[in-house]
Amino acid sequence: MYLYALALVRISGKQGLGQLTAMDFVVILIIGDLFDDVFWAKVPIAQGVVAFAVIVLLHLLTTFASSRSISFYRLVTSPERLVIEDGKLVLKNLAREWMHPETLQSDLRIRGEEHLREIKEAWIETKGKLSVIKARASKPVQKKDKHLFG
Amino acid sequence: MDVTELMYTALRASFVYLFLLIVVRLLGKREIGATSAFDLVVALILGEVVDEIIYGDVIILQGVIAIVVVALWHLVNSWASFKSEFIDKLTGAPPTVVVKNGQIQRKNLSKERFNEQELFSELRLMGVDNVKEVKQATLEPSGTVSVLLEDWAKPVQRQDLTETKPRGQKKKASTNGKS
Repeated sequence: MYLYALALVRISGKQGLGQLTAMDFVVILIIGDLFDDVFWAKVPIAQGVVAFAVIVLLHLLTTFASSRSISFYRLVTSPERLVIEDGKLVLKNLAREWMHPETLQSDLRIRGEEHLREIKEAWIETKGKLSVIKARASKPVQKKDKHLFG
Repeated sequence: MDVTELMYTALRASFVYLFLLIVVRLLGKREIGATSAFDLVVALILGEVVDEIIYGDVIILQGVIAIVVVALWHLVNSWASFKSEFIDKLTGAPPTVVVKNGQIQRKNLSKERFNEQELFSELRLMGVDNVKEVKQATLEPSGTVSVLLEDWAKPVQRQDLTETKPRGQKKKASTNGKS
């Protein structure tokens, strides 16, 4: 059963655990739970194998379809939302996410961001994570900025 | 184990997958997954319920009701925490400041059952080896430690070079204050 799981996980793709969508996460939990019943011989192995294969297959189909069709992707995932624009909170979108400004502040601190004014855009991405694009003046100095040193 | 039973297993598994796809979609992207410990527990409950459905240990309707009820309560909970400050305080821990202006806040640390070694470990993970560089470190509700650096310890930004103030003032103080 372990080897079977290894094989299925292998063919289902190579994304690491940091790249999970909510559905990936739930699928992993389902798979884990399908297992123990086989271990304790509560269900025959054949039934476990079928259940397992069907879940993995459907998940592969869903992810394949979302990679090919944007409209299908939009159907099965929540859209990303802009929560900071040019240093200002976009309260409307925060409310849509049922997110308190304090929660956003907490996420910003985790990213090391202290001042809203230094942020050009921040998004709650589809995977639920916060992305931050810094304002031009607050971007780190790059090699191309050598002229600024005078 | 005859073939029809296997077919039913496949059918139930397909149904469960599609049903969960809808439930997860409706729950939204921040409601499930690794955002908070409780979201994780809800995801585990949902996952735990479905294997019984797939193997036919409980009838589908019963499983569907269990999933819908758990998902619904989770939605009500996040909605209520957003709408009411009281419920928010009741269900979620507020952030705790553990370093303020380079000073370790020992009282807050012990309140969170967090020791100095763990704090230093968290700071090192952020590339900080000197607590003096920390303006504020906070144990956030999500369980992560956030670190805000003192102005002089921040990396140089474009505006630091274009502003007219004497150069070097905001630059990283590389050697002073080394422990």
